Amino acid sequence: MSDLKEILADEAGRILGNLCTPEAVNAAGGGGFSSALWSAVESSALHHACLGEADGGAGLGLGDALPMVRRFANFAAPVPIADALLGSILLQRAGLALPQGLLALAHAPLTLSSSATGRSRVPYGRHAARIVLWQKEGDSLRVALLDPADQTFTRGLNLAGEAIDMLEMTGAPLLAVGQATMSADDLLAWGALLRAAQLVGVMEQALALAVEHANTRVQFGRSLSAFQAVQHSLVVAFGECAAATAAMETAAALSVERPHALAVPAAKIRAGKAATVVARTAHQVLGAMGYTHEHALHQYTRRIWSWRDEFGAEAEWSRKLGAQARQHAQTGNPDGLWDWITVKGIA
Amino acid sequence: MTSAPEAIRFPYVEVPESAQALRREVRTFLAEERASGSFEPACDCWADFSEAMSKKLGARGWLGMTWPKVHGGQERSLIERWVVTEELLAAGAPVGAHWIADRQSGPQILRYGTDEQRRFFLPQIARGECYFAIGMSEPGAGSDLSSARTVGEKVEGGWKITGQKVWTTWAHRAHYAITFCRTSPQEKDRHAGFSQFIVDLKAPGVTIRPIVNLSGEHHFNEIYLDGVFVPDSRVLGEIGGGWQQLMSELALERSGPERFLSPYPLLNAFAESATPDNDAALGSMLAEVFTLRQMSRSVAGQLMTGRLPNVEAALVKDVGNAYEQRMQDIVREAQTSAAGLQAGDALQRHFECAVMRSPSFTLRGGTSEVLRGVVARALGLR
Ligand SMILES: Cc1cc2nc3c(=O)[nH]c(=O)nc-3n(C[C@H](O)[C@H](O)[C@H](O)COP(=O)(O)OP(=O)(O)OC[C@H]3O[C@@H](n4cnc5c(N)ncnc54)[C@H](O)[C@@H]3O)c2cc1C
Repeated sequence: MSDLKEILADEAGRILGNLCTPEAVNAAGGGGFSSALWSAVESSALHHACLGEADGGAGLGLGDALPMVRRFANFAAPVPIADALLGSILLQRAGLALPQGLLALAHAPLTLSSSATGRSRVPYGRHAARIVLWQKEGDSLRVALLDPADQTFTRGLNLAGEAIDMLEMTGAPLLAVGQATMSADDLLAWGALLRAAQLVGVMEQALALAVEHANTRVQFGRSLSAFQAVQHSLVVAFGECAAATAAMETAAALSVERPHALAVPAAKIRAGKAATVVARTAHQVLGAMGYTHEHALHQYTRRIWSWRDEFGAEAEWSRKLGAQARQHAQTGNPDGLWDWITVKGIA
Repeated sequence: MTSAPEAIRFPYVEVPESAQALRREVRTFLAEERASGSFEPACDCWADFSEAMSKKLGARGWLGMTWPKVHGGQERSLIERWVVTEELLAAGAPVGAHWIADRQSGPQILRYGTDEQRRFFLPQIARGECYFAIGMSEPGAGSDLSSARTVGEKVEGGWKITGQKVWTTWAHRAHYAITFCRTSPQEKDRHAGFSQFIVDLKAPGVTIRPIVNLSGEHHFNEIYLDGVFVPDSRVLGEIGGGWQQLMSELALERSGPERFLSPYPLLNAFAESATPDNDAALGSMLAEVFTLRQMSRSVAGQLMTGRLPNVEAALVKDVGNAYEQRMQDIVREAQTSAAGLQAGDALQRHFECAVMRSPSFTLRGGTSEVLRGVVARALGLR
């Protein structure tokens, strides 16, 4: 399996290298989408990586798809690969047929019967051929597929300029409805794990740009990297990125059937914190040049500022994680918390 | 795509079932010890000296665990050792007596020592009966160890050591100090011409004077070495190879759980008395502990494959120490009752210990600034 995940990441890297040029990324700013890139993704079935082989997928667990997702983020690719992967898993778990074209995912629960009612943000909604909707039903989810053609979106953008459209429906007709064995909490946790991997991908690039700049820009007769103050702030940011990467990779390894209850929140919290430091540091090192639209840095830092808040910001996941920890610590067993931190798997 | 950082990695390392079984054994033992009153859990417990505890751990085979059986070891893996060390730290058990000998002096002797040295020292260390100090720092050589001036001069049958060491933790209770000395005059290469000696701290010419730390405790010392005779049989490794020998042990010294679990008893006390208002604070600390455990264990795993992850180890220590200090701020800021951290309870006791010890976290074992220099070089910044 580990070979396959690297092969997919390499394949993504090849496609992105050809199609996801800085011009293409800039052109998609302001709510755009690279349809050329998405066609290539579909031809290689990268968006179906987590489906079974019978459905044309690679049969990867979501954790194993993260190296590929990280690669898309390395390129600031203007396509919703993470949400499409998760949407396809939901449809498959609900036994619904996978549609053609871009699949988007509602981020909030809706009221679903034979029709849909409610409001949800839908990243890349305006570009989608179909949208996956969901509703909590006990420990599982009711899942539905919507044709957005007749729906009106209130168009919105996140700080990265990605389309985050508000879908508002009253009795909107559905193409199909099914039941998926996945809890709403797990769905949001998978989303958080995906965003953690994406954050790692953009952090890596922001840092690479900052290191390169520090090595080439000369002031006071020396490269910026000769100044210890610059070295140390870059190292601190690098340490943050390394920590986020370790947390995310561990969470991926531990989340085989279900998102791990400690590892996934920890990974999203750690990635959000790290990304904040990385963005601030990269901008400081790049000076005014990094504050321009012309320089590529903002394609990474604006994604940091958006993605750290999607699928739960640090505060939300910290509260959830802390509540679990508190319960384990207050059972009367002085080792209760440590027992939980070190259970098999996390060790 | 990404540049130099690619080489610095923390791949996920699984904990084998054998190590989990060992973990349970150690935890049960420590719970019994705690219940019987043999120790009171404390923060920064690897700075606390207890011969009794070290001997008990030695008797159970939990010291020198990775060493060959012929030298008193158990031939267990570094991951198993890692598990035992984190259990000891999480329990807040006093493990300072053997800590240095088990973590670095023993491994140095195993790697660079003569067969006689191995047979003599390692079994005693593994039994928890023989303790070591680190004789590196000097008044004029702190971060810049290459300016060490203590000299070793060749004499008949051995070496004569003259100079001064400082900040030597537990020198007054340890048996030996691996002492870093200049054995040939400084040349262009500042790192050449150093050697390590196993100095018997009871030998004639050794004077140990206490230095009391800010909390009034006597942990570290200054050592005066006045022509101390060290026989040839107590040279450690190569004459002239001292610097390289030190470098090869840095990863062991810097990557262990003691670089982020020193205030674990405080975290636990905070969780035990937490209300739902404290959940966010608690969750943010747990995310750090989770992450650092993975990074630290990954370094242990990499050492097992023969890699020398010095840069990764520097990052574990720097990121870990930063958390150890910041978590105290988080605990303070999360106080919602008027009594706060002065309620006379376990939380107060652990908080005060953590605060008083915290300045040492980012100094001992290489300062944050020195560590960042190591990483900066690996990133191609210097
Ligand atoms: C509790 C404790 C126990 C210790 N135990 C031992 C022991 O058992 N054996 C032993 O040998 N030593 C021991 N030490 C000493 C420890 O290794 C030194 O404190 C450490 O190496 C720093 O040296 P220094 O204190 O002389 O500070 P200095 O080197 O003088 O540094 C002071 C400050 O300046 C910074 N600085 C120095 N050089 C630079 C530079 N080039 N760039 C940027 N910043 C710089 C440092 O990072 C630090 O913040 C112990 C220290 C403590 C606190």
